Amino acid sequence: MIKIKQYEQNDYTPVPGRLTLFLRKCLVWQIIQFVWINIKMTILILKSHH
Amino acid sequence: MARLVIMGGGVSGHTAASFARKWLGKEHEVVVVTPNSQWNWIPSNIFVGVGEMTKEDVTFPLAPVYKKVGIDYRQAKALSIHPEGNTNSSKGYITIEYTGQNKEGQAEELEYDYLINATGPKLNFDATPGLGNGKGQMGKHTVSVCTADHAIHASLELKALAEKMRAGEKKRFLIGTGHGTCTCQGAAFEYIFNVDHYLRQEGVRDKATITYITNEYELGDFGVGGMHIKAGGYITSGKVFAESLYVERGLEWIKRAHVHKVEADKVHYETLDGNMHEEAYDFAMLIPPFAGVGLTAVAKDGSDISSTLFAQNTMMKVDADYESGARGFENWSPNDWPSTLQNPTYGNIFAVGIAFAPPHFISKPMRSPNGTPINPTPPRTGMPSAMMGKAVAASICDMIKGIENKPTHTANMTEIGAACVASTGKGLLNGTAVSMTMYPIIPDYEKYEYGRDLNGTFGTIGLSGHWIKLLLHYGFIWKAKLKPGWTLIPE
Repeated sequence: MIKIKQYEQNDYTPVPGRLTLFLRKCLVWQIIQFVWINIKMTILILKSHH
Repeated sequence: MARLVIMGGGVSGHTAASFARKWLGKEHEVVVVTPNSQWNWIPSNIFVGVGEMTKEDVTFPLAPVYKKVGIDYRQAKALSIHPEGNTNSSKGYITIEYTGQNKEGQAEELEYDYLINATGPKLNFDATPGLGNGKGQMGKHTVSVCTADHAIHASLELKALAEKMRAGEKKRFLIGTGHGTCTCQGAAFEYIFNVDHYLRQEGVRDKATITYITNEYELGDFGVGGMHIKAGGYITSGKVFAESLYVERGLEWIKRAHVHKVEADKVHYETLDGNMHEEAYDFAMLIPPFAGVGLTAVAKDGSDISSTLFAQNTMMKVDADYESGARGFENWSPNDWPSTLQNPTYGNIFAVGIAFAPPHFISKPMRSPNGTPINPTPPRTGMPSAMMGKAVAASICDMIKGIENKPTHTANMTEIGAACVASTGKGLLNGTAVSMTMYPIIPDYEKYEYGRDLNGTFGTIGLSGHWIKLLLHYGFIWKAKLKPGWTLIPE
């Protein structure tokens, strides 16, 4: 559990909720993300070669 | 018959050598001069640093790989460049001193037709008193993950501390940058989250206070002025997501800091407001600032011409606008940055990766009221460094073959992007990493409202990032070993 300290560093920062934390390690969602990130990186690589 | 000499066998130099050997006929020589006998996949050193990988997992010997493809490998450090030759010959040459191959200490002159400076950084530990040992090596107070051997040492120190924590002791961890002008914040970012992950897995995280110390103006700067991404219906600064991750993991941070002295149990640092502080620690990993490796340049008559070839930071001048720095941050332009990486004075000399001198910072320069510079210097990560190596190799090959008498390929950081994967903990089913891309690396606020193409700039955290980190680890080691199909793996 995060200990929020009022008026200090962590008071003004967004933190992920339960769904976000779950999706980060959800196998099905992460497989989709794996494919999607690889597509994005491939596009970047192709765009960058001159 | 031409000889291409490449100083340095890291990601940039090794890429250049590998492609040049592939593209040139056997009548031409490709020579690699590097003091190291091993190639190191540096991005995985952080896993070595927490005991999750071994040195053998991240390194391999260079000699058999080079022998396999016909690259002449000299295990030596380059000392000086003589671009005009000497009184006996007009052919350029370098002087080298062997560090292996049973020739330790032997000096030699090596002529070249074309020269690539891919020497990478000198880890300038001594720039901060106490961070170095006064002899150019890491001191005894802190640890590092810059090399595989450093990372092993770090993992052993970490393990010993975890034992004490299991016995009930509380410990303070300090991870970040060890000087106000460091680069490579990404490595420190990865390491702090992997240490956090390790301590959680060991069941002792509650005994640890973990603090990040950085010269960045804001978290998420990474030496590139930060970035914006589209997320949750907003266009948001990476600062928000970086801070979020620190808070989520219970880490504190000190930003805008110049560490100016390191002692056995505390660091002294100055912040951008000019105030002086101390921070105690039991375990500290502080990245040193980088410098050029200290090559000198000598004219035909024996006079020193180092200032012709090298900038003040001892990195090599290329086709950048070195007057642009003085015009100030508000007047910087993407046009300041180099394209062909060719030295403007000697057209057969090139510099790639960390070895080339940037025209100025990417992030805004900052100074404290005491005049102390506290700002990250420009990073040159693996992807652009490898692209530079390949582009320069292609240009040189065209020049050797007589296709052109000037460079034919470019690798300009204003026209190429970077894909980075920053691990936040290893584990096939419970690890995570931040996957991010940015396009272009050097922001262009005339072309893009937020400096970069928002469709090519994104970041996300998850298990898939860790899988990509592993994919890159195995894929790029396969590529570097020049195994079948290695050219199919893009830089």
